[in-house]
Amino acid sequence: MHNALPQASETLHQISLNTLAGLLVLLAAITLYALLKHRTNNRLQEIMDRLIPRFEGLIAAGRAGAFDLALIADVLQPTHYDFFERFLRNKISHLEPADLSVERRLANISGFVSWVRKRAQEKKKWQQAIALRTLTYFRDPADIPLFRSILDTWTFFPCAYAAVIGLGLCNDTQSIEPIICRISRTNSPNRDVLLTVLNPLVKDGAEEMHRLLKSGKLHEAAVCVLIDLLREHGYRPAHNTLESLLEKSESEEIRIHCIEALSVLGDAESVDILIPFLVEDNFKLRLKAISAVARLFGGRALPFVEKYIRDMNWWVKRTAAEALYRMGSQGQERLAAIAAAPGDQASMMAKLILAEAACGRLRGEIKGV
Amino acid sequence: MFLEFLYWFNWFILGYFILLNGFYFLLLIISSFAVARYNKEFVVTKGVRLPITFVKPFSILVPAYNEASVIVEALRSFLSLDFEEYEVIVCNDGSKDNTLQVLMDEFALVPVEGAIKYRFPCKPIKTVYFSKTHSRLVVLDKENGGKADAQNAGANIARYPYMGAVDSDSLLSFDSMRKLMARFSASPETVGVGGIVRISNGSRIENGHVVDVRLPTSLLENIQVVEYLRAFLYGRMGWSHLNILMIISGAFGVFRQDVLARVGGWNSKALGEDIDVVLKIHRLIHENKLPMRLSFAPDPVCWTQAPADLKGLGVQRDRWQRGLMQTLFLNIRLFFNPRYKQIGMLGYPYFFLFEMLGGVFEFISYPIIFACFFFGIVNLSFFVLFMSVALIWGLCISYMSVALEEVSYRRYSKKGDIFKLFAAGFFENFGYRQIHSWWRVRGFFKYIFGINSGWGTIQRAQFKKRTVIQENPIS
Repeated sequence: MHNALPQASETLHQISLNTLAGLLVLLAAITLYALLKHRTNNRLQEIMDRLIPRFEGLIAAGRAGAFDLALIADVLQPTHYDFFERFLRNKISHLEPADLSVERRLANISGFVSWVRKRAQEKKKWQQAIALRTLTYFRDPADIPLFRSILDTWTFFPCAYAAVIGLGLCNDTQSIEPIICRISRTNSPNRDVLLTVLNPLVKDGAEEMHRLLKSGKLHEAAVCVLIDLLREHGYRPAHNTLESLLEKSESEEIRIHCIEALSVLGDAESVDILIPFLVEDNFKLRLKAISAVARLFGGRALPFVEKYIRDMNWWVKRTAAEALYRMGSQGQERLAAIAAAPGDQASMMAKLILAEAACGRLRGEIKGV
Repeated sequence: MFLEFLYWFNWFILGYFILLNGFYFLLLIISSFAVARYNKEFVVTKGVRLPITFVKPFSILVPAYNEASVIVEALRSFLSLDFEEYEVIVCNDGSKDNTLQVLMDEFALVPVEGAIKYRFPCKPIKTVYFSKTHSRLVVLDKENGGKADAQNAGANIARYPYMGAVDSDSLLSFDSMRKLMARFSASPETVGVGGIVRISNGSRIENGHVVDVRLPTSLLENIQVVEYLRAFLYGRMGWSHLNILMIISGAFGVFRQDVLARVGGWNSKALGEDIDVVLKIHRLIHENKLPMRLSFAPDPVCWTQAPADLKGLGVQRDRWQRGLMQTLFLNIRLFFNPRYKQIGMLGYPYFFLFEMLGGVFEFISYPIIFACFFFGIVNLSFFVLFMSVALIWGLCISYMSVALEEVSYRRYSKKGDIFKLFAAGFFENFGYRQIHSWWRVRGFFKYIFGINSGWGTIQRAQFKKRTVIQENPIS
C-alpha cells in the first residue's frame, strides 16, 4: 500500500523526510539487534556445548561418590553459574520423582545455590521468579520457608507460581491449603496449576485434601481439582464425602466430578446414590452415572444400563454400549444380541462398539465428555 | 473531474497508509512485549507439565482430497504424538487419486457399521473403516463436499469431546497436542485453542516429525517463511495479547465439540471455514453472554508444506482472499458493533478495512501513480520519499518478526539463516509483493462477480523420508 500520494507541500515533504530518517534508524536498530542477538545466542550455545560435558562429568563423579572440590571450583566458577542454570533447566526442571541429591550437593558446595537464593530474595519480578524456579529444581526442604513466605506475600503471579511448584516438589503437605487459597480464585481458578502442583502432594497429603474437601469452604474449581486428585490416586476414604457432595451440591461440574470419582472410589452401596442420576435430564450426568453404575455393579448393572443403548443422546447410547462391553462376557453377549437384531440405532451402536473392541480401540474409559 | 479524483484519491491513500501503519506500529510494540513475556514464562514453566491423566482426550480430523503422496507421512506424525487418549480420523473427501487405496494398503483397514451420528451437516458418508494395525486410526470415505464438509463428516464419527482439524499436508510436533490440550484443562471456559503454523519445506523429517529445522532453498519459499513469522509471531501474538483472536488456523486448531455443534460445525460453503467458525463462536459467546473464550497457544507447532511455485501460491492466496471476503460478509453484523466488544470494535474492522481491502488499494494505486505523473499531480521527489518510507517500514516489520523469532523460538539458528531471512524480507518487496497484491485483487473481483473457482489445485511435494509408523508406546 505504498505508491499513491498527494502533491507534496513543504510541510508534508518535511514530515516524510523526518519519518524516513526515523524509520531508517529503526530499521538499522532492529537489524543490528537481530544480528547481535543471533551472534550472542550462537556464542552462548558454543560455550554451553563446551561446558555441558564438564557439568555432566561432575555429576557422574558425584554419583560415583567422588566429589573433587578443586574440579568443582574450576568448573562451577561464578562466571559459569548462568550456564549451569541453563544446564539444570534442561536436565532436572521436570516434576517427575528423581534422586537429585548429587545435583543439590554440587550446587551447594559450589556456591551456586547461595547465588540463586540471593537472586530469589531480590524484588525484581521476573528475575526473582526465575531464581525461585531454579531453586525448585533441587527440591531442598531448606527452601520451604522461602517458598512459603513468597506464597504468603506474592504480588507477581510468576513468583507465586514458582513458589508453589517448590512447595509441591518439596512435598510440603502443610502448604496444601495456602496453595489452594492463594493460587486459585473464582475468577482465575488456575486449575492446571493446582492439578500440576498438588499432584505430587497427594501421596502424603490425601488426608489433608480430604479434610479441605469436607470443609465446604472451597470454590467450585478447587473442589473439582481435589476430587480429581483423590480419584486419580485412589483415595477410598473420600467416598462418603463424595456421596454427600453429590447429594448436596447444585453445581453440575462438581456433581460430574463426584460421579466420576465415585465410579473409582465408591462401592456397591454408592450405586443407590447414583441410580437417580440415570434418569437425569442433563445427558452429561446421565452418561457418567451409567459408566459409574456399570463399573461398581458389574454384571448386576445390566438391567439398569441396557436400556440406555436406546437413549436419545448419542453419547449416552455410546457410553451404555461401551459399559455393557466392559461388564465382561454377560454384557458382551447382550451387546452381540442387540447387534444381531434388525438395524435400529441401538443395533448400529452395538455393532460399532464390538468393532471398536475388535480393533483394540476400547483401551481406556471414555473421559472428558 | 478526473484530475480532481486523482488528487483526492491520493489523499485517501495517504490517510489509509497512515492508519494501516499506525495499527502495524501498535502491533509491533504489543507483540514485542508479548514475546518478551513469553520468553520469561518459558523459563519459569520449563519442565512443568500437567499430568497426562488430567489432559482431555481429543479427535484429530484430517480432511484429505487427492493427498495420496503425503497422507502416510502425515499420519506417521499424527499417530505418534506424546498423548495417551486420542484418535485420528482421516476424511477421504471423494479423492480422485488413490488416497483411499494407499490408506487401505498401509493400515489394514476394515469397514465398520454404526459409527455415524450425523450431528453436523455433511455429504453422505459411504464407509467408515477402522485399522487392524493402528487402533487410533479411523478412515471415512465420503462424497466430495469440500474441506469443511469433510471436517463435519469427521466430527460426526468423532468419539471424543474435543476435536481439532489438521491439514493432511501438515506434521504435528511430538508434544504439540499435549501443550494445546493443556489449555482446555486450565479453564473450562476455553472452547477453542489455536497453535502456531510453520513451514516445513527444506526441513529434515523422520517418522513424521521434523527433526532438523532448515530454511528452504528457494527465495519464494523463504519469503513465505518470513510471511508466516509475520503472521504468527507479529500478528497473532499481538492480537491475542489484546484478547482478539480472529483466526484459529484451519491447519491447526482444536474446539470443544458441543460448541462446534451449537454453531453448526464448519460452514461447507465457506472457503475460509477457519475464520468463519471462529467468528461464529465469537457471535455465540457475545450474543448469549456465555462464559467462554478462545485462546492462542504460542508453543505447539504444526509444520505445513508451503506451495513451492508461483502458480500454487497464487491459487492459495486467491482462495484466502475470497475466503476472507466471504466470511467477513457472512458475519457483517460484527462490523463496529459494540455488542461484540473488542472483536466487533477492533478485530473485525481491522480485517475488513485492511486485510480485505489492503491488497486492492495497493494494486489500484500502481496505475494511478502513473496517471498522477502523467498529469503532473505528483511531485517526483515526494514520490521517491513516500516509496522509500513504505519500503523501509515494510522492512522494519519483516525484520522485527525475524528478530522476534531469534529472541524467542530460535528455530532458524544455523549460521547464515538470519541473513537468508533478511534477504527474503528485502526481496519480497520487488516483484513478489506486487504479484501478491494481484492475487488478492483477482480473488477480490472473483468474489464480487461471483466467479466460483473453488479451492483450486496446489501441487504437493512428497515428504522426504519413509519409515515405519509406530504408535506412541505410552498406551
